[in-house]
Amino acid sequence: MMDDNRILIAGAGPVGYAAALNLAHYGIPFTLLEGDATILDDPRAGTIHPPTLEMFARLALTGTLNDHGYIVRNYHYRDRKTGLVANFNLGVLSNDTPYPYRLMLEQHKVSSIIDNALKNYKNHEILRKHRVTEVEQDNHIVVVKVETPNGPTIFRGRYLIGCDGGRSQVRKFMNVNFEGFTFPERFLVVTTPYDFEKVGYAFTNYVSDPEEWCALFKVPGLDEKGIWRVVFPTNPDLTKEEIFDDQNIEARLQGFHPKSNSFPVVHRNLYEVHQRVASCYRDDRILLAGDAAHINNPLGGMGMNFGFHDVFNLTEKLAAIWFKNGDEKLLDLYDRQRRTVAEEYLQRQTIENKKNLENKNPEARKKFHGELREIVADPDKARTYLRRAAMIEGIERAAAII
Amino acid sequence: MAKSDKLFYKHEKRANRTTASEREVKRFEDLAGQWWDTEGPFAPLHRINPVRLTFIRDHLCAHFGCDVTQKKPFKNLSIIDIGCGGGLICEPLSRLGAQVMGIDAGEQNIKSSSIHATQSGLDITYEKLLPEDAAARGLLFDAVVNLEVIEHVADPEGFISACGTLVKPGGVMVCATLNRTLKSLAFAKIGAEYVLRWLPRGTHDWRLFLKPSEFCALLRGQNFTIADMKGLTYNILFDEWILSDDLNVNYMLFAKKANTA
Repeated sequence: MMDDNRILIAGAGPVGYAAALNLAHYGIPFTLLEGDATILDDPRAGTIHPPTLEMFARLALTGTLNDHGYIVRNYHYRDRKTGLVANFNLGVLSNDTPYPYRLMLEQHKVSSIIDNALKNYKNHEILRKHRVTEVEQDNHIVVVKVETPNGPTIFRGRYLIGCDGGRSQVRKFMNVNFEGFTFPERFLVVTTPYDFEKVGYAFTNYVSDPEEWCALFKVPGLDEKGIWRVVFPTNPDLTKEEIFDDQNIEARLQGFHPKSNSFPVVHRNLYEVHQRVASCYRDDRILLAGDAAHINNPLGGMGMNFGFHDVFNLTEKLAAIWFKNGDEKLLDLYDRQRRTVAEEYLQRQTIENKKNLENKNPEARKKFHGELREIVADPDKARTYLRRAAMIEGIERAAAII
Repeated sequence: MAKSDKLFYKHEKRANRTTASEREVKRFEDLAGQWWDTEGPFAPLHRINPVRLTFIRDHLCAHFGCDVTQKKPFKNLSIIDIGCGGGLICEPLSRLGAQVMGIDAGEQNIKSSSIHATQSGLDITYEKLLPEDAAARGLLFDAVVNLEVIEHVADPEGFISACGTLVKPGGVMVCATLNRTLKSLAFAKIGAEYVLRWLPRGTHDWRLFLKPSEFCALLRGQNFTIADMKGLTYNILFDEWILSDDLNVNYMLFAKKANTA
């Protein structure tokens, strides 16, 4: 094992990997610890927004991401019964960002791409089957206990970044709460190769309905031939078996898009959906980022992006401390900037996205759809709206927090 | 991948040791004596100057709460003009009361602008200096101005990083440049240099022009908030420039840096 003058990262999901690549880029030694033996390819985040692409461009990675993902310049807001409500054209942001689109690319591919990019750097180690179980710190160092195939081991570093997901083990050893709530309904994700583009859908669609809304996305898929993910809310009274039942899934898909033959179904996954933010992202030398710091519903495709924004922000500050003798108060600034926008922006926006999709009040629905139609008809309004939806506003807001 | 993306990567990866491009510096050096000749090689700068100064004055007044009706509204402000050329921006800012420093990569520019400032009775500090060297000295200013400079530098990202470092917490940056569009190629490059003969041929390399989107991304990368973005449009009938929403040829940006707690 290498010396203690390094940063420890717990969790090699996309956010842990992004933290790692940033540290490598700055030239800070690190150890990335991950419990899983391989990068898991279950369907999770799959949308990358413009500010994230701007950040990865600084690491010369955006070209590779673009090459593997779908560049989606338009997305639809729809009503399940009446059809298209608004076609959002991200092109109105063409003066705001070099990447005025959503890039559809699965999170495990982002992880793999970064894993590959890290091979160009030295002074780090990536250890799989190394799950962080306990954390301790004093004034100089963080010590983590790690479960490995050869039994428990100890690792030491100057700082620890907890990117170990919503159920973060690191967070449990910090003096923080994970406040918020869990929705009663779980979200069902069904993946199918059926090509919804042929029947008029965009590569990203939000389909509102008082009874059964859904969100529909096309991602490249394992074979890069394209696969569609459909996200539905589920009845809290049903068991996982009942939800996963073939007939139930077929009925849900037919109910949303009736056709004569049945839908081929590749995967079915069920996720609990939470809205929570850690009460503080910093406990001295231990920092939280990504899902370990904030979890939210997937509508809007913001969670993973927010995690990336966390670690780009955090590693910039760590580099200032590491190389320029920067004040450790910068880490409190990280907490203030990123936690504030998680509360004010990530939580509010995603909760609102869900509320709008499932709204049961006909008058309110009509009014909201009218507003969306007005927004897309007016380039100035569309730009303002999409600067928020594409997360540019959030980044600028965070930069302004002192 | 879109062409524009590729060009942007090219900009980013050009990590030279200095931000100044030798060839570009030399080009301006040769013209140094003629900066203040309103009908000379820099005539178009004299024509565009009023509207650029209006943009700077109005934003600085609004941001710092200066009273525009005062004779010297900028009397408490320190401003650095990066790539100051002959001092065409430094002098009016100094007259508005600001404490002004002008830096340029060209020795001749510094000499001629210093002489002109003395002739004008203005106290302006001119120095042959690159922004990264000014930043290394720890210099800080309320406002950093870089007008029509970024399209001549070798490393735009390093240049904006250095400019950003020079801004005090709570301060601002004002930038102006040319967009990389077919319209700018036709108008600014071919039109201004070859047809109207406003600028000496070869003054601009269109491929080095930055799109507003790319400029915004560079500024966000330095933790700036983009507060305003305006186009500069030439009115051929009145031979004057006005601010507009058309960013296709010349444009200006106003960006803010967060204060410290």
